[in-house]
Amino acid sequence: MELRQKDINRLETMFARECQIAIDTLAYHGMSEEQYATFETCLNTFIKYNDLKDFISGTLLSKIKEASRFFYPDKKENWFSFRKLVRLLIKFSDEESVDVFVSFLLTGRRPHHFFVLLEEMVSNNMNTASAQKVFESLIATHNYDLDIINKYMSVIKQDAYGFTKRLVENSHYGGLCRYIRTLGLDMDRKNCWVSRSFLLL
Amino acid sequence: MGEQIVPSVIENYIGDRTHYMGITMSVAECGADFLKELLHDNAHIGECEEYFGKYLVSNHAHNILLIKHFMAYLEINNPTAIPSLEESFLKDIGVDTIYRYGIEVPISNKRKVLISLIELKNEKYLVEFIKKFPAYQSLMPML
Repeated sequence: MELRQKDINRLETMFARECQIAIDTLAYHGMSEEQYATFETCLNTFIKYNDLKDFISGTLLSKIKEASRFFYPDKKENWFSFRKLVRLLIKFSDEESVDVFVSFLLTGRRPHHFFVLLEEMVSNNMNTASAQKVFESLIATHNYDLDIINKYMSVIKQDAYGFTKRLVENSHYGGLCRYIRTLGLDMDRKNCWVSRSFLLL
Repeated sequence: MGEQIVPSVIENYIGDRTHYMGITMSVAECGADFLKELLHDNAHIGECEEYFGKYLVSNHAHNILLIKHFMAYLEINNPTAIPSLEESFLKDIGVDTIYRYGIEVPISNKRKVLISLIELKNEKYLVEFIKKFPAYQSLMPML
């Protein structure tokens, strides 16, 4: 028996409400792997309806933005939930939403959250060029320390040679200068620690 | 630090000379180790040691650490260029930078620094400088 349009709308609204509750649960209470897998399968089934797709994409984006304000790597449980939310965003949202989230994280100075997103994009074989461009263009102005730059290099699987090449080719000279100075500062700090340890001896 | 970065810059840089000077300056701030490669071995930019000297004097003369590392590079690779660079550098900087240059850069020409301090008639720095280098006190009457 074919469903009438009215019934479809009603079911879509019900499903959307349930989705919102599930996303809230994932964000604030966490989900077991099993629950998460069920939720993902469910989304996979219903995402083909355009209205639902837009709704889920919008809900995920706003929830994940909210979550990134108070989810930090040192709070492990929250951090796992954040990663799961990122996974959902990547799977069920369009490129534009991901770009919006990249800008939101980087302009809001949340590089660690950005790395989770980048890791998930890499593992899903997504094109990371524009996300990388945004990060690299901000190295000069955001004064990232060496740990952050090293973490970025490890996520995009590049060594110092390749990273320098990227910065040079994309004319991010300010970023490159900042990177070189950061390395110099780090060397100074290490030398300082060595001389301090000698003094203590 | 520079083992990977400097070769990558030399092999991949295709921009203009000014930005190249900025990158070289960042490397020079960390030390003199990789300046030879950056100032001599880059075929795209060409011989740019002289340009880098002028760039430092006109834009970063107050940065004594940078000057110190560049001087250390010149001492090994092109010592004949030191006097002219020093001359133009001492003309352009303030009295406190002259004093710092005199005491912080080991190969600085102490006689030239003393002359500059006397010309600027700054007693405080002159006294401090003589305290650091008492051997130059005997030159005072002649200057």
